[in-house]
Amino acid sequence: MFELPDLPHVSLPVALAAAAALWLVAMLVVLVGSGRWSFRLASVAGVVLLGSLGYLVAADVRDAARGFVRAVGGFEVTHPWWLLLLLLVPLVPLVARNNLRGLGRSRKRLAVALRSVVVALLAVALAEPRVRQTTEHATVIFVVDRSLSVPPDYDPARRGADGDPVDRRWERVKKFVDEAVRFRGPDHRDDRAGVILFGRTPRLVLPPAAVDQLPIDERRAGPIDVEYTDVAAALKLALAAFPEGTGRRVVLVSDGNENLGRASEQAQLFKKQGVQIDVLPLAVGYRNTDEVLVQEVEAPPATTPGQRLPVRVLVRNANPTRSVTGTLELVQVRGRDEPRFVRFRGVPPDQQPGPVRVTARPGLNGFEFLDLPGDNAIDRDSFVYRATFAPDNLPRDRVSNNRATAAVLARGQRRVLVLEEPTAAGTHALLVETLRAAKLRVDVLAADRLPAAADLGEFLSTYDALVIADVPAERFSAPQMEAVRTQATEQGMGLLMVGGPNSFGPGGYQKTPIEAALPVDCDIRSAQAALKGGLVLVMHGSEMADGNEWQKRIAKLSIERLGPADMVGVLYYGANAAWHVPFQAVGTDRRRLLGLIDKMTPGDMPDFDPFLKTAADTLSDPQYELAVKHCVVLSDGDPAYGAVGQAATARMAKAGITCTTVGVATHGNVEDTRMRTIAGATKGNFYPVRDPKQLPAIYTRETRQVSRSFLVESTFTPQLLGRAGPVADLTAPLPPLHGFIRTTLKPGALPVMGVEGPPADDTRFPVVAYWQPAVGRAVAFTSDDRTWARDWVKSAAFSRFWPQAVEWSLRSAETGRVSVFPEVRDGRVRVVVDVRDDNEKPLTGVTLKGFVSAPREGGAAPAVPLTRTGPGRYEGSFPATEAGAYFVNVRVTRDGRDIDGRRVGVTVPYSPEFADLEPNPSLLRHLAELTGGEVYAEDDAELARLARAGVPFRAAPATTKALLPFWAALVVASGVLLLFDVAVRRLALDPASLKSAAVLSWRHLRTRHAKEPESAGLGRLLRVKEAVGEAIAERRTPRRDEPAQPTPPRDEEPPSDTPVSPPPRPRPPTAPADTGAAPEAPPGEGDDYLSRLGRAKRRGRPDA
Amino acid sequence: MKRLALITLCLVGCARGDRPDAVWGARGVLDGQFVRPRAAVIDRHDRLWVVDFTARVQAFDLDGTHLGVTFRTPDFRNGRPSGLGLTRDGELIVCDSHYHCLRVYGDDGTERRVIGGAAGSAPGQLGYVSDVVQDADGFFYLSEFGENDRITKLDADGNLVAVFGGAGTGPGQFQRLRALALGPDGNLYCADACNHRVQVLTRTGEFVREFGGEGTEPGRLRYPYDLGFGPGGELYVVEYGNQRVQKFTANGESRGVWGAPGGRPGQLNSPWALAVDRKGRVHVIDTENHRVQRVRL
Repeated sequence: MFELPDLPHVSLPVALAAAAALWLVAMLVVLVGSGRWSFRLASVAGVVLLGSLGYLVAADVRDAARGFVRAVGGFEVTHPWWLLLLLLVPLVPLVARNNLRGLGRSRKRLAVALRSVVVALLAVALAEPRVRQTTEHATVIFVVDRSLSVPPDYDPARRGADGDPVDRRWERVKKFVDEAVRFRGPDHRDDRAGVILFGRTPRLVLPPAAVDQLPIDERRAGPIDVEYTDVAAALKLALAAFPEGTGRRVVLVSDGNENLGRASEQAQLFKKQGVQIDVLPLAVGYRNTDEVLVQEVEAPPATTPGQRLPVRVLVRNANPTRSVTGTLELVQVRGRDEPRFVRFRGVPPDQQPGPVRVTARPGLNGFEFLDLPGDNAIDRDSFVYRATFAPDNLPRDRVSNNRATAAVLARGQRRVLVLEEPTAAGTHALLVETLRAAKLRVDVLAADRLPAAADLGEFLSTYDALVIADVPAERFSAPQMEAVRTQATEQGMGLLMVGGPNSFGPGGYQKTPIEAALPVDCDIRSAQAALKGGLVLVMHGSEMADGNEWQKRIAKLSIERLGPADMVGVLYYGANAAWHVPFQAVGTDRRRLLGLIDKMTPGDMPDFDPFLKTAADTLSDPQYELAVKHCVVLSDGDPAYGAVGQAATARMAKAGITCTTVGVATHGNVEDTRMRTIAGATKGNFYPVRDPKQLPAIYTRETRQVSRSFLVESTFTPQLLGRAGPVADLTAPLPPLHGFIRTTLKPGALPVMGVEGPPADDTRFPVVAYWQPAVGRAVAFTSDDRTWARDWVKSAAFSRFWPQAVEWSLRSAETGRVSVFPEVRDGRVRVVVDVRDDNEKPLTGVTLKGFVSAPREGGAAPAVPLTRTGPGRYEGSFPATEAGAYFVNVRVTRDGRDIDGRRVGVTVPYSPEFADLEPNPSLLRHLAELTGGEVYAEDDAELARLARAGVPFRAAPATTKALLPFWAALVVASGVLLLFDVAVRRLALDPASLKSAAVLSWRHLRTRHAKEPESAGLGRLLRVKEAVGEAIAERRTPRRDEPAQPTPPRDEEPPSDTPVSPPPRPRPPTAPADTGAAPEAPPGEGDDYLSRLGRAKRRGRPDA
Repeated sequence: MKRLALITLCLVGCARGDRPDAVWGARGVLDGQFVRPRAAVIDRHDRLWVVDFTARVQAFDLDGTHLGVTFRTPDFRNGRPSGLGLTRDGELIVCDSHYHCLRVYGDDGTERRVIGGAAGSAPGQLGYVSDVVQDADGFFYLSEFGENDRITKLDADGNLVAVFGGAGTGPGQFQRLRALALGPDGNLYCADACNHRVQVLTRTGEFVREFGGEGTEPGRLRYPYDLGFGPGGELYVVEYGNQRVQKFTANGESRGVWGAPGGRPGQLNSPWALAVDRKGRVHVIDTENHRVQRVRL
C-alpha cells in the first residue's frame, strides 16, 4: 500500500516568508562571493518577506493593540498624591542646564528628556499604579435540577437501555446543553462550559473547560439526594467553580421548587459579583392533578396513661373535580415492635381495627380515628402514628407523599435503658438488679437491637436515662450516636457509661458524638503504659468510589483511636515501597501523623507480598515489645499473593500477629477468596465490604483491639474527691478496684471528677466524672461493674453508688404546668408555650429555653429563642426542612434554677419536595431579573434556536480579571533609562560617520571582486572621496567639543551644520570621559578638499 | 577546556535525550481525553488504540489526534479491559479481562467476534486475560493473571491447543503475567510483573531464558507491565514500579533507560503500557498522568 511520507503542515504565509528569507540569504552569499547584487530582486524578496511576516503577526499585533487600549482604559492609581511629584518634571531642564553644559544640543535634549522621563516614571511608580484587566472569555455553568419535584415527561413509546421509559424532559435538557456548547460559534471557542447536577447537594459533574461538546452522563455524578431541592447550594457551588479571569454565567435549569436554602439570597451575591443567571423554567403550566397526599396526622403531642386518643388524618386530593377512592390505614409504631392498627371512628368495638376504604373528595379531607386503650397500649411508651393512603388506579400519583407520621410522647414511671454488648448478654445483671431494687424501671437491650437512627430519638425519648454498659463504639452508626447525644444533651436524658475493655478509649469512642456528651475525653495525654499494641495499615483501596478520601478517613480514625503508647505504621504502593507513615509510637500529639495521612496517595498495588513481608518483619521485631500485633489490609483483592506473601503470613501466624483483610470494590469471588485466605492464615477477620460506609465501624473495631495503652489492669484504691452529685452517697475509704480505663476529664468548669484513679506522668485519671453540659446530665464510670469492681460488688459502695448516679442523671421533672403547642408550616415549626402555676395563673419571673433535636445532624438550630407574647405565653420558631421527628424540650428556669419543663414531638411527614404540585417559575424569573439574565422557554424548537444563536454564550458582563500592580516594572524601566542617560552623556556616536562606514563597507563588498586598477590605492582613494563627499553634504548632526573644554553659551554656539567648527572624532566607546580628549584636527589641517578627505579616511577605518 | 566542552555537550545531549518527542492527552471523559489509560497497540495503519479505566477504546494517529472512533466494551461493571492486541489480519483485539474473553473489533468499533468467555482454571477456561498475541500461523497466546498465572494457546478458531505456565517464581512460572510480545526470534517474551523479570518461552511453552530481577539499576526491573519490539529487534520494557522504559537487546542486555517518577514531560507516573511504531518511536502510556508520551530511545 502506498503511503504518503509525513509532511509537516505549513501555511502559505510561512512558506512565502521562508522562501523570501532563503532567497535573501542566497543573494547575500552571492554578494559576498562575487560582489553581485540585484536591487530589484532584493526589493521583491524584501516586500514578500515583510508582507508575509506582517500577515503572520497581524493578529498578534491587533490583540496587543486591543490589550494596550484595554490596559490604558483600566489604569488606576492607588496613592494619587504621589503624582504631585510630576510637578518636578519641568524643573529637570533647569537643573540640567548647568549639569549638561558641554553636550551638544541634541544630546543635551535627549539627556533632559531621559531624565524627565525617569523622574516621571518614579513619581508614577510611587503612586502605585495598577492595570485593571478585564475578561475576554465567558464561562457558562449549566446548573440542572434533578430533584423529584421536576415532573418527568415520559415517552410511552420509548424505553431506555435500562428498560425504563424515556423521560423526554431530561432528554430535552441534555440536548440543549450539548447543542449550546456545540454551536457556540468560532468566536467563543475559548469559552468554557461546565455542568452541575443537584438535588439536596450539588455535584460538579463536568468542571468548566473549553470543550467542543458537553454530553451529560448522570452515572458519573454519583448519588444525588433527589428528595430535596437546594438551588442556593447549587448556585454557591457554581460560583466557586468559575475559573479566574472569565465572564461568568449560570444557566439554571429547574422547576423552581426549592425547599432548602434561599436561592434569592445567593442571587444577590451573583448580582454583586456581576454573574448572570439565565433560567430555563421546567414544566411551566404543569399541574399534577392526579395527586393525593397525606398532608398531616393530627394527634396530641403528649399523652398520659389510660387516655383515649383522637387522631385525625388529613388527606389532600389535588384534582379539582374528581374524587379518589383508596385504602387508608393508621398504625401505632413502637420501636421495633410490629405496627398495630388504630380504629377508624365509627368502626364498632366488636370489630378488629384495620385499613378502611375511603373516598377523598377534591380538596382537603379529614378522617377521624380513635385509639382506645383496649386496642393499643397507651401507657408508658412514646410512639408514632403512621397514616398511609393507597389510591386506586392513580398512575401519576407520587407514593412518597402518601404517608405521614406523628410522634406522641408518653410520660409515666421513671425508666432506665441499659444497653449491653450482644455477645455478652446478661453480664450486667447485678447492676440491673441493683437499679431495680432502687425502684427504677429498667429495660435491658442488646446494642444491635437499638432502633435505626430515624426512630431512635422517639425510642430514647421514652427513657429518662441510658446506661451504656461496656458496648464498643462500632455498635452505633454515626446518626445513632448523634441521636444519643442530642437526647442526652438537649432533651435531658441521663447518660451513663460503664467501663470495661470495650468502653471509652478501647471501645473506640474518640471524637464521636457520644464522647461529646460525656464528661471525659476518651483520649489520654500520658504516653506511659504497661501494655502497648502495634498496628500496621496496608492501604490499597483506590479502586472504590472516593477511595482516596475513604482511606484517609479510616487511617485517621485508626490513629485517633490508638493510645499514645501504641504504635502505628501505614504502608501502600507508591513511588517507593517504603513506609508512608513509618512504624512509630502514636504519641500525645497526633497532628503530625494526621498531617502525613492527608498526603497519602495510594497507588494500584501489583502484589501483596512486599507489604505483608514488611508488616510481618516489623510487628515481630522484639525491640518494640508489643502486647498486641495486628495488621489491617484494605484492598480490592487484585494484587498477587505469592510465595513471599505466603511465607510472611505463615510467620505472622507463628508470631501471634493477626492480619485482617477488608475487601472493597473486589471484582468477585477470586479476590474475595484471596483476601479470605490471607486473613485465615493469620486468624484475622475478613470483611467483604459493599458499602464504604461500613468501613469506619470495621476500622474502629479492628483498631480498638490494638489500643492497649488505655487499659490499667492493676489493683488500686480510688480516691473520693467530694460528696456531691452521683457520689453523694459514697464514703471514704472506697474499696479497691482492680482495673480501669484511662480517660481525660474534659476541660472547663462544668465537668467534675468525683473519684480519682492512680495518676501517671503527673496526669490525673478519673474513675467517676459527671457534668451537666446543657439540659441533660452525664456520668462516666471508668472501671467496670463486675470483674475490676469485684470488691465494690461485695461492699455497700456498689448499691449506694449506682442508684444515686442513675437518679442524679434522670430527666428533670415535668409537672404538667407547662403546655407546648408545636405546629409545622412552610418549612418551619412554630412553638407556642403556655406556663401556668397550680392555680392556672400565668407564671411570672421565669426564663424559658427551648432545645430542639432535629432528625438529621445540623438540620435545625439546637436552641429556639422563646419570646414572651402575653401573660404566661411564649412563642418561637425554627426551620424544619428535613422530614422526620423533631423534639422540642422547653425548660423553665427561675433565678437560674430549673423548675419545670415539657417535651413534645413534632413530625414533618415527608420532604416538601413531595408537597409541590406545580412548578415555581416566578422564583426563577426573579433570579434572572435580579442578575440581568435571560429566561428561556422549555420548547424543543425554541431551545434549538437559542443554542444555535449562542445565547447562553453571549458576551458576559465584563468583570475584572485582575488588578496588576506594575510599579516594579516602572522602577526597573527608570533604572534602564538612567543607564541610557549616562550613555548619552558619556558616549558620542556620530550618525554621519556611521553612515559613511556603512557606505564604505557596501562599496567594499560590491567592488572587492572587481579587477583592481594599476594605481589601486589612488582609485580607492577616489571612491572613498566620493562617498565621503556625499556623506558630508548630508551631514546634519553637530559635533561637540570634549566636556573638558569650556562650552560657549548656548546663544553663542555656532549652528550645528556650519563647517567652521571642525567635527571631533568619535571617542571609542570604552574610553572614559576624563582620560583626555580625542585628538582634534590640527589647526593647520584646514577645511580644504584633501584634508577633509584624509580625515574622512581616518574615520572610515575601524581602528582609527 | 576541551574537557569542559565535552561535558557540556554530554549534559546537553542527556537533557535532550530525556525530552519526549510529543506529550499529549489529558484527564477527562470526552473524546481524546483519558482517565488512567492502561493499554495500547499500534495497528498496521499507524493508528494508536488506547483503552482507559472508563473502558473506552479510542483511536488516535501517532501525533495524538483523535480519529473519531471511541467505543466501549458491552459491560464493564466487573472490571475494565486491561490489554489490547492485534490479529494477524490487523484487527483490534480487546482483552476484556474481567469477562474472561477476547473481543475482536472492526475499524469503526463494531464487535466482530468473541473468543473465550468461560471463567475458571480448567484448560479452556480463562482467568483475567491481560494480553494477547497471534502468530503468523494463527495461534493466539493469551496471558492470564488473577486466578491463573499462565498462558493459554488457542488456534485461529479459538479452540484450545495448550496451556502452559502456572503460579510461582521458578522458570516458566509466573506471578501476575501482564503482557506478551512475539520476538523476532519467534519466541514469546513475557512480562512477569511480580517476579520482576522478563521470561522468554518458545511458542510451545519451553523455558528459554529470563532476565531482569528486582532492582532499580539498569538491567534490573520493578514490575515490568508491558513490552514491545522495535523495528531493529530491540526490546522495550515499561516498568510500572521504576516508572521508566528500559531498552534491551533481545538477549536481555540493557541498552539504556528513559523516564523518572513525576508529572513533567519525560517523567512518568505508574506507566502501564507501551507501543512501538514502525519508526522505532515508543509511545508510553503514562497512566496516572492520564497521557501518552512519545520518545525515541
